[in-house]
Amino acid sequence: MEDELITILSSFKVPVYRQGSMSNDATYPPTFITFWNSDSPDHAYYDNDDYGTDWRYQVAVYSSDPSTTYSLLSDIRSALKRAKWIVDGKGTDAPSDEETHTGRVIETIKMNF
Amino acid sequence: MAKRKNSLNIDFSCFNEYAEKIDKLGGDLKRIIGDVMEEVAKDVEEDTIKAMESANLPAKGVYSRGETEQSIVRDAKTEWHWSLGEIAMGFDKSKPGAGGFLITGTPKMQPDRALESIYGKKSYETKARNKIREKLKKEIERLGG
Repeated sequence: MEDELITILSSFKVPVYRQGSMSNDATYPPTFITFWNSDSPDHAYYDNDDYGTDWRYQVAVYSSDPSTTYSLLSDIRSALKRAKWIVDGKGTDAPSDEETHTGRVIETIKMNF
Repeated sequence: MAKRKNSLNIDFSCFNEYAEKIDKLGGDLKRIIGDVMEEVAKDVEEDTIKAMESANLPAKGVYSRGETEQSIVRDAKTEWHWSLGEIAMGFDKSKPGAGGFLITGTPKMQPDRALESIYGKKSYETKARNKIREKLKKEIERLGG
């Protein structure tokens, strides 16, 4: 599932990182994407057996251009929906280590049967 | 959807059937529901305080500040707006350093696992709902239902 997500995110031609993977002395690229697997609960049970998993990820965009932060996240949201990922809402602010960058984050789920 | 956030939302609409039974049995619905909400809020408060202990934080608390710990909602009380009960759980967003960056993480800091297990996991909400269900069942039994 993660491979599919990374493929979608990589299509936007900006760096893609796992959240928290940048070193403390690294410099933020002008615009980049992060992802994080927040949960993977079995979404249903039948005869005490799970028959699928909800793969839950957070996807964040950080940019030194605030309008790009919003527009790129919107484009990612559309791409995820086209690929049958569920996206709840248009996101919330995401904390940035650098004052130069703003961040926005969405939650997305892919149900795997 | 279990959202990554600095507060916890639990939808009580799945307990309508229990609420109707309590009401029919003459129970004080607002008091009973209010008490159950306050018990759940207390659980969240205690679990959040434990998660905020330095040993459980990224880099043993280097990134956390005292003001983050102080923004944890404590001894929350249920507030009623007509028939809608509300209670604060988690971090007080109006205070500085309100936990969000520990839950969401940053490009240079992974999300905090202990807080994530409370605010980002479906299993925590399920556990809270199960507790509410058991409390309401007991109350119905107590009322003779």
